[in-house]
Amino acid sequence: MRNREKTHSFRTPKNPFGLIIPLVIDDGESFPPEIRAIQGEQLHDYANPFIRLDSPKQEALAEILRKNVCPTIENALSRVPNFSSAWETIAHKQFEHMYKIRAKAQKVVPSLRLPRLK
Amino acid sequence: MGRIVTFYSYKGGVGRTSALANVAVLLAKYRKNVLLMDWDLEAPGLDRYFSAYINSATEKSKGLIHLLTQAGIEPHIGWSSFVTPIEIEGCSPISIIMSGDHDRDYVERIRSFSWADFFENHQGASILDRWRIEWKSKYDFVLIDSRTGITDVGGVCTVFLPDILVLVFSANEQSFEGGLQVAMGIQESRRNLEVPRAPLAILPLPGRFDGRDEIDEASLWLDRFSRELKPFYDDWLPNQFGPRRMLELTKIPYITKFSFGEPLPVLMPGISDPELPGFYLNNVARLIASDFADAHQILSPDVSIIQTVTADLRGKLAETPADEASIERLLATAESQFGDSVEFCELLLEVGLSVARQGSHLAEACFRRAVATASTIFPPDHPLLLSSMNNLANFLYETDELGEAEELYREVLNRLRQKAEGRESAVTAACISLANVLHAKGSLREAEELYREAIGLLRTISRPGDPVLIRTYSSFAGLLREEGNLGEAEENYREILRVMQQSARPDNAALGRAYRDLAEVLHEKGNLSEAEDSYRSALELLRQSSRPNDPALARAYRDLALVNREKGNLVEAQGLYREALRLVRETSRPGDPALARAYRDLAGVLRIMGNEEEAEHLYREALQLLQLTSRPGNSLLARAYSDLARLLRVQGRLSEAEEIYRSTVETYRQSSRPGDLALLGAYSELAGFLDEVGNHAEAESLTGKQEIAFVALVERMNLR
Repeated sequence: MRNREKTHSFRTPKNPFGLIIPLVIDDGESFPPEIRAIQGEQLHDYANPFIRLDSPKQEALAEILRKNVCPTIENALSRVPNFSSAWETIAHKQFEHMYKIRAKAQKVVPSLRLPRLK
Repeated sequence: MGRIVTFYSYKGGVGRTSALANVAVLLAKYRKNVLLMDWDLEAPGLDRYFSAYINSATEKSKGLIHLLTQAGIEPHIGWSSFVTPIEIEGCSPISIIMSGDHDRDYVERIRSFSWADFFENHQGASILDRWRIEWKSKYDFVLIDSRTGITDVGGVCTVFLPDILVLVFSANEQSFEGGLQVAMGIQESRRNLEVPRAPLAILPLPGRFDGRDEIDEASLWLDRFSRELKPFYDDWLPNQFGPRRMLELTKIPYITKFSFGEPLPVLMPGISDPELPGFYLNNVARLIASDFADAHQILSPDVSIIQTVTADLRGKLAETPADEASIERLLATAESQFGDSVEFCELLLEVGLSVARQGSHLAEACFRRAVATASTIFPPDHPLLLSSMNNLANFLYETDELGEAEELYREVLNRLRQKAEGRESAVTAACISLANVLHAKGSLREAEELYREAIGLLRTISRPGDPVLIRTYSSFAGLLREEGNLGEAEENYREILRVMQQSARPDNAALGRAYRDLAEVLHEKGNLSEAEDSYRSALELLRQSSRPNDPALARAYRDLALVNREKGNLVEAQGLYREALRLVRETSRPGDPALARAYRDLAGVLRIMGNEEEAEHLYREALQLLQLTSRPGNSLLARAYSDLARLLRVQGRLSEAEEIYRSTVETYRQSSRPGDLALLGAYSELAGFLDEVGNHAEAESLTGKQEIAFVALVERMNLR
């Protein structure tokens, strides 16, 4: 998708829009810098898998999706370039090289903290 | 996958371990597979609650500290040999990994174990992550008793391991404020882990709460808890309830009787008694066991969820316009509670029908979901399934998705026909629906057969004056008119009138429409006298039944005027057109094309009667109105030009007429395709006029254009 953006000159001063819409539910630090640089919607607070469908948090998430995410998707859809068969030939290895997550090992004890004492 | 639930308190003495032990027993009573782990290594004792239920011969000297120490040497060590079974009658077996404090070297082991070293040099994180996955695979619930305060082991228990945190605190500043701060910090610490962890669900649990004597003080504390803990409740508390009510139902009361030793009150009778701690612990266990889905039932046990959701939905459906986002959320709640059930299917149909009336496309999704749900739970010919299919087909028919609507109606009819006995009215309705969609698609022959079948069935099962029978006759007669079968169409319209007049309380408006339909077909057949009688009857009935500003009334005057004009009764036609014009003037909006039509109708008859002055005035009124309101190329505008041009030509005002004729041609050219009959007529009329005034050259040139247009017309007709 990033390749499509580049090919069609998305994220340029003339055409600042894009086809990738990041929704960040964790820290996103495993992603390569060029993906991290894309401004995304921060949804950490809504990534709790126990959120109920009738809870205030779910309503707040729905509002964010409605107000912020849906218009962005709508905008992106209106700019989707025509399909090109060349897209299918982007090498798997090239993709893997760039986007494979290189997870670090946890080397320190997870720490408790008191935010008021930061 | 199971859930790991950590019980944490910032300060000790709040009843944390007691709450964990009792919740474990309740989960086992619900037939859940439970593992308990004593991670409060500096002050262990969880197993003491179960000493009566652990085989006395069991080896107790090995525990968590031994497992951790050994893992530092052998990273692939398994944990299952460190598990001790707990057998309680009436419960699923509980497993426990004790601290290991029965070992004589325990204190030394605790002193020498370094969490920092375990993580940094012995792959501590990956070992714990592996165990975590194994525990979650083997058990429904893993309950961890965490160390209090800010410690390394507390970080492992609250940040690294759990899915749910039960935050236990008592009503004092140190315990509550410290717990609150730690819980808020945990979410951030989890984001900083190298392993992925979703935000924790947090269940606040006031422990040792003595609200029976100090009622005012207790109420103040509950208010404070409610206010400050709200962000945690927002994740899972149904939005119509505040945290206060949930706090009241989950606070563990301080009862002197249970303050001695290590009691398990949930094993005693009384978990339904709000006077005893078992009642509140049971609520906590239900929340954990249900992933918080039981919150609604706990808060509102007297009202079933279906009733609550239905009531909420009906409230939302009463709003105009419908709040679709809320309706979808409530439907999702209903679906999560009931899954594929009769209640959910009925709810979907109710919502679908209601939002369909507002023209919302949410209706389609509801009907499709209803069909899917009903297909799962009912046999193929169940009335609720067929009704769901019919409702979906009706919506598709209304939104012009005729192909899929036809498929669905056909399927419904086929299923009904397989077992038609006793379901004649359903078969009839299905025949009519399929006939209507086929009629709309232009498949007239098949539609005709189905209408005939439906009418045959209706004659046997319906009562006199049945509106369904009347509507079906009407649709059938309309189809016959389209087919050019005017004789049978007339018979059907007469049958409609007969059936309607049989009714005990005939509907005058409907009767008026029936007379109008009959009049139209008689008019088409050229039977002007009978057509006039029927139009007159229609007008009379409409005058009795309709509002003075009903547009149908003006139309009835026009219809009667037209047939009188055709019969040569020009005076009467003029009077009727004037009445129609008066009504349209009173009821139409400014710029309404109906007003232009009414001007032209009256002007036309006045012109024939020789009242050219008034006719011209009216034609110009019509033209002015259409010039102001219609788009370029509007055919009504072109006809208005043409009317005026003809009148001026007859009056000998040739230069004015020529200008208007040219406007007529230009207007048609803007809207018509080459070969359009109206454009051809306009060319022809202008050419004739030019020839008449001596402009033969241009007339000839226009005749050439006429020929081109004519060739195009012939080509179009051949293509058809």
